[in-house]
Amino acid sequence: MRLKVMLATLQIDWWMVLVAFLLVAPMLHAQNKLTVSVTTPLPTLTAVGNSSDQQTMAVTTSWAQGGRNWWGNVTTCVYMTAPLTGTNGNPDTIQPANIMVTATGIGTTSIVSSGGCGAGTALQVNSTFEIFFWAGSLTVPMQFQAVNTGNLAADTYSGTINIIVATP
Amino acid sequence: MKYTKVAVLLAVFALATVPMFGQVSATDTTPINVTRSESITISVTTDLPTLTIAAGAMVSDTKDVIVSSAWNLKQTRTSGVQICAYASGDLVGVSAGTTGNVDIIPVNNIYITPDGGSATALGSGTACGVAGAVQFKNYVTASAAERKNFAGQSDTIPVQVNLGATDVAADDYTGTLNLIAYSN
Repeated sequence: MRLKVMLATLQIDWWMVLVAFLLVAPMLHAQNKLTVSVTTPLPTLTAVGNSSDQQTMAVTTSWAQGGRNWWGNVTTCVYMTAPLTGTNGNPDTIQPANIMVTATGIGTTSIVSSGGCGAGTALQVNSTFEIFFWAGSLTVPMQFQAVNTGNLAADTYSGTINIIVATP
Repeated sequence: MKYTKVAVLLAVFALATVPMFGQVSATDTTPINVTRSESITISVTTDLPTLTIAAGAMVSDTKDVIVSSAWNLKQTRTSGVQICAYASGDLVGVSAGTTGNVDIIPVNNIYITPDGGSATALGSGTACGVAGAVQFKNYVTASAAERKNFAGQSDTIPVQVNLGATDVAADDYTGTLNLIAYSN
């Protein structure tokens, strides 16, 4: 009864309430789906002299937020938690600080950074503003290169790149 | 009243557009591999001077060829790096084409003296995986440090000609001495 009185006082019709409800309801029941995957795997880097060649990797973020937000930034970050290691007891390693990342807007910088995407040492590679942020996808290419490789023993060094994306 | 109504609807709209929940994130991982290729090189830093066989002698003096080698090997290369030499053919007199000197100095009359060994005729072995090659030295590569970035290793290889029982005409005899750095 009080609501009815208030609506009458404000001269709001029931159809207006219905429109407002349709606008808000999806947000109250938003099913947030956010995924990130590597769509262009990183080829093996070949070290000659004191640095390797540069190779490209791409990650694609997809989201379906059911009207959760109208806009927001999709932030893409990468990080490593351990050095690249060799084989057969080779004691040499490639430290994460010697893995360089190149991307639009950040130039070339070490993968060891601070606080990208709210993750420890993650490097923020990209942050793209998206409007009508209901559903969509974003692909971010980035190049990788190993540096200070001149004193490494001949071997194949392997490690893991972690990718994290964050949205509002 | 009209403004109040608009304000209420705008407020509803604003609520709808403000991030209503905390930040969300997703993760993935991918491998990263870096290959540093093996390398092994050898180069002559001092050419072999001309050997001289004195008149009436059958054995030449001994002169040195100096080579420099370097390598960066995988951890599985534990059998060492061999430095070897071989001749790709007999030594032929430079006058052969003009004066008809048909004499040659056969490959197996050319000797090198391996490190710590005695003079050995080329053409007699199969060192470094090459028929006729003689090993001068075998560098141990048992440890990681011995396999990695071993650079600027210099070797002085003594070379001599011993004609044995077969003399040759007075002439300058030339050929090619090949040097190998090898690891299997």
